[in-house]
Formats: sequence, C-alpha cells, structure tokens
Amino acid sequence: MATSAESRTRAYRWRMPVAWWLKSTHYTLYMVRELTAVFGALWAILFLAQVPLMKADYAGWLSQMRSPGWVLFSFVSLLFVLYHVWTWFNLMGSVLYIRLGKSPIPGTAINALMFAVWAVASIVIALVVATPILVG
Amino acid sequence: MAERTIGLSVTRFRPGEDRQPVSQTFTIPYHDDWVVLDALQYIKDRHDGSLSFRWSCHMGVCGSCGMMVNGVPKLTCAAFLRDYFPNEVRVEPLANFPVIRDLVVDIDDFMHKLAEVKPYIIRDDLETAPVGFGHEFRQAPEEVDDYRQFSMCINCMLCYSACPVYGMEPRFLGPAAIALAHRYNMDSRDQGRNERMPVIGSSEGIWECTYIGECSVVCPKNVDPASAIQRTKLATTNDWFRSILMPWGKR
Repeated sequence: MATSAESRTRAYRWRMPVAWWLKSTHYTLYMVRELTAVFGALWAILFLAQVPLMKADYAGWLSQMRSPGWVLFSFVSLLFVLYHVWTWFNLMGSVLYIRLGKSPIPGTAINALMFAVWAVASIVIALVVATPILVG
Repeated sequence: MAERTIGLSVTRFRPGEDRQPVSQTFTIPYHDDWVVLDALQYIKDRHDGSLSFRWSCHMGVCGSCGMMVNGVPKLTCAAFLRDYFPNEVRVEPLANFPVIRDLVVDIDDFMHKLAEVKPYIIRDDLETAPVGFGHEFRQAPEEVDDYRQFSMCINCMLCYSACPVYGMEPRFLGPAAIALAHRYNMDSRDQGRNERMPVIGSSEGIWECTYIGECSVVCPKNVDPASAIQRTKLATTNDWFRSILMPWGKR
C-alpha cells in the first residue's frame, strides 16, 4: 500500500488553464471589474495631462475636449467607472458589520445607504458644475 | 417502457500508470431522486469496483464528497441528476488540488493551513479558570450571531476549488481557513486574535484575495468566506491605523 508521501509524489499536479476567466460569467465579470480600474485611472491621468493646456490655450483645450475621440473615450470610461462603483457599493453590505444593540444592520440597508449618498453627492456636484453654466 | 438512462463522464487517474487524467463514460439507469454520489456508487457496484472517490455521510454534513460537476464545485450528495438529465454529467476531481487517484484529491495543504489559523477558542485563563456550573464562559445570543454564519463551515474545500487565486498561488491561505479564523476572532469568548493575525495578515493571507467572490457562490452552507476575508482586511487596517495614531494603546 502506498504511503501518504508516495501518493503525493505520484499525484497529478493540476494546472490553472490560461483561459480560466472565460470559464464562467462570474469570472469574466470579475476580470471586467478589474479592467474598469485601468480605464478610470487612464481617464484621470489623460485629463490631468491636458490641464496645463487649459491655461495656455483655452480655445484649443475646449476643442480637444469636444473632439469625438475624447468624448467617446470619456463615455466608455464613464460606463466602466459606473460598473466599478456598482460592484464596490454592493460589496459594502457584506464588508461592514455593524451591530446596533442586539441586531446587526442588514447588508441591504448599508448598500442602499451607499447608493443614496452617491446620488446626493452626484446631484450636489451637478448643481455646482451646472449653476455657472445655467446662470451664465 | 424502456428504462431511462443517463451518461456520466468520470475522470479516471491511476497513479504510476496514467500520465494524466482521462475521462471514462458510463451509462447508468436514471432515477430522478438520485444524486451524483448515488450514480458514482452504482458505477462502483455494477461497472468498475476500482473507481475511487471520497464520501461519508450522504447528507451534506461531512464535507467529503466535493467534486466538480459539469465544471462547478459541488457536494455530490446534493447534486441531483434531475438537474442535468437528459444531458451527460461530467464528474471531475476538485479543481486546484493534486489528484491522487480518480476523483480523490490531496487535501494535506488545506489541513496544514487549517491548523495554522488555530481554529479553536484560545484563552489565557483556560488552565486557571474555575470549572463547573456558573463558571463557564458565557455568551449572549447576539454575540453568537456575530460569528454563527462562519461557524457553519464543513471544510468541504469547494471554496478552494472555486478560487482562481488559490489555483494560481497555492501558498494563499484560502477562503475556508480565513473564514474559520474570522469565526474565532469574532467569538466573544476567544482571546487568540493576536496569535492568528500574523498568519492571516501575512502576504499569503487576506491580502492575496482580490474579491472574486466565487467561494461564497459555491459554498453549500452559505458561510460567505469572501465576506469574512474582506471584514478581516478592514479589521487589520483599523488595527494598523490605531497602532499609528495610538502607539501606546494595546492592540
């Protein structure tokens, strides 16, 4: 009878297939989620890189911001960032464990609170940005 | 009426003889109240007595019969044939583990990791505490609720099999071991948190996890190991900030 050590040396070593992330929708969505961070970071870096141009040549900067390539890239990045936010906020309910007295706050309530804060923050920022444009 | 049948494609591996696992297909009678484990036992009884697989309780408690069923880690005692019929069912050994024979995998790595996280109550005063009625370490129901979910783990290792991080980096402590460590860290009777933290907080511990979350999806007991790992990340981060802001304070 083979000993435990013998069995191990003769065991078949399993290897992770390269395309493991295509095996299930869940794995693929995880990879998409990880990719969203790249788009978010790339958009922020490219935007910041263009800031000096805003001061030097405002009209040039504005036309660059309105170019179809940049608008498309921004739109795609926005979709990725929104997906990232969605996954991040949904995670909060299972990460934060807060017991108030005898019962813990339900994860769904924490998730809902995150989305509510996000909505309020978005409205406030939109108003701050939109007011000078609307008022002129 | 002709007897209904179902095909089972089962992984076979004979150590020392086969270079790599191969699949063998068996056609067996179909019963809608049979689970995959029943089918494997039928094959072992009627077709090939050398087919090797682990099982014990046949009721989702022992955690022995975990295998890949159509590519998904499942307890074969809880995977009904009727959910796959009339299609063929593919049964493979748990992914991410070395295969010893047929559907039997080497679980030593998990056993070592489990021992490393000290999954038991640690008390400084266990030797000196008075024993007997009225002197037990009491716990309120809400304190039990703090860890109950994580205490449901049956060590079936489906979560390890579903975890791509463990598949790529076998040094990763893994979902179940961390969930069980968290279970004892959250126990109001336990005083062993500082003893567990060096293992859990190491680079092979919680920080390897990138929250894929499949461990919680496949868990047959709804333990949610992914949540335990993220909560532990939060707790260790809090510890770190506290040690910076209040270096004189006890962790």
